[in-house]
Amino acid sequence: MNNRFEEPISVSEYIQFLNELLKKVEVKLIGEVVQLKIHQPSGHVYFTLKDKDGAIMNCVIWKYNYRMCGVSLTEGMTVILSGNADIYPARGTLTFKANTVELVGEGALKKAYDELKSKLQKEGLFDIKRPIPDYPQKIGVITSLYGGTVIHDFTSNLGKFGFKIRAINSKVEGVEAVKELLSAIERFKKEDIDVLVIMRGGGSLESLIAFDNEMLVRSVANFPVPVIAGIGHHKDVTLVSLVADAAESTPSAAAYFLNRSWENAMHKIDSYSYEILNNFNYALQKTEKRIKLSLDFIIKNFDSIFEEYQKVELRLKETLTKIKHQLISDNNKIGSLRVKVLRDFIEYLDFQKRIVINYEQIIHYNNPEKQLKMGYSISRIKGNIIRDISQVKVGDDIDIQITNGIIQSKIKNIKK
Amino acid sequence: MSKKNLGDNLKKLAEISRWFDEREEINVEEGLKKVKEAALIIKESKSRLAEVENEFEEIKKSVEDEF
Repeated sequence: MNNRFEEPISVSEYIQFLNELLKKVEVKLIGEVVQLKIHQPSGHVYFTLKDKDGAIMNCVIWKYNYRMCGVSLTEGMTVILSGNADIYPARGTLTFKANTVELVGEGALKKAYDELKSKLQKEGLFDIKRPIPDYPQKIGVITSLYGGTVIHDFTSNLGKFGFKIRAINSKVEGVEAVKELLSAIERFKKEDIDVLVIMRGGGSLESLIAFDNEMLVRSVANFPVPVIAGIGHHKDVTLVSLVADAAESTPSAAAYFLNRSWENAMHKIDSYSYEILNNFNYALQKTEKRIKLSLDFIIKNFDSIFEEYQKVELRLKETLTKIKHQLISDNNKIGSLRVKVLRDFIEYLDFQKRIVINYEQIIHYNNPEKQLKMGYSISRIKGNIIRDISQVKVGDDIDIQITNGIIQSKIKNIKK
Repeated sequence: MSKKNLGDNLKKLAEISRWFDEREEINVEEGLKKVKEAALIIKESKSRLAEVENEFEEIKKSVEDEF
């Protein structure tokens, strides 16, 4: 750019020229905040920065940057602003546009830290801890990849368990780091990882200020998978470490933490395989012993088993013989009974026959016709059979029945 | 006369026989009636006995065959 103007230029052109120069000069200003005004509804913060000598400068910090810094400005507060100045053409005034604002002094930083910690604690943000999954493989790492030993300490202490490391570089020092850390977290939200590790080496409260930033803390709390913080610290644990699901004080410790479930699994496998082999060996020995005992028993008892078998066989034979004899006896009984039954029945039949014949004879002898046929007759007087001579007298009429008729007669004489 | 079994027939014949024994005075007509009845029963009994004898012979044969 030509720094000499031969021809006259307009005020606007001159201001534009100056603004372009100022834009290239990024500085850090230290001073006391006075005349603080938060513009509504934009939320942009306007204030004046005044130094010990009484020099002042108009300052502004846009709402987004103000929120990201996580600092609540109050009048009288000493701060360090980083940014650059420009001239507002309509008024010709110079304004310092701060990108970040930091508190100055351990006391102020500690106070801000305690206040935010207490606020987040009340919200219960530090109480929610998600379990770190066993056997994680896809690891997301956010740290400064250059100019330090952090990533080296981390990777060299990771075991050979097939970890897949995806690292995103980020500033980790000062307020400026917040933007990059948030951006890295946002990027990891879209990636398929099992766990996220945020790391940096130790440092003072001032150098670790990014890790006490409210936006960053909330972003970690809302991260979709568990987060491990591997942030070194001197005195106070960073708020990111408090909100993380697990916190280790060094990158190496974070690596050991990730190794733990894998190492446990290896130990378990070793222990199980030892146990299985031991049990199997024991079972083999036990079975072998049992077989040997059984064999001894069989050998010892073989003769007695054989004798017992012979006894049983003998008893069986005896029983069979008994059954056979019983069968023969029963058969003989049946045979003799058969003969008896037949004989008895024949006798009974003969007896019946004799009875019938007997009755036949009785009837034959009692048949009145037979008597009459033989010439006997039956005499009746007035219907009564004459059995005694006294029943009749001379002159009586009597009937004499013979075999084929009745002779009506009169008594002429009676002989006694 | 309905056909009765042998036992009934023998009972009846015994009654008729007793009837003749108990009578001091025989009514010829009544006696004849009894004789005729007895003759029929005897005939039937003999026939039944012959049947039984035949059946028995058959049974006896089958029993002997079995053994």
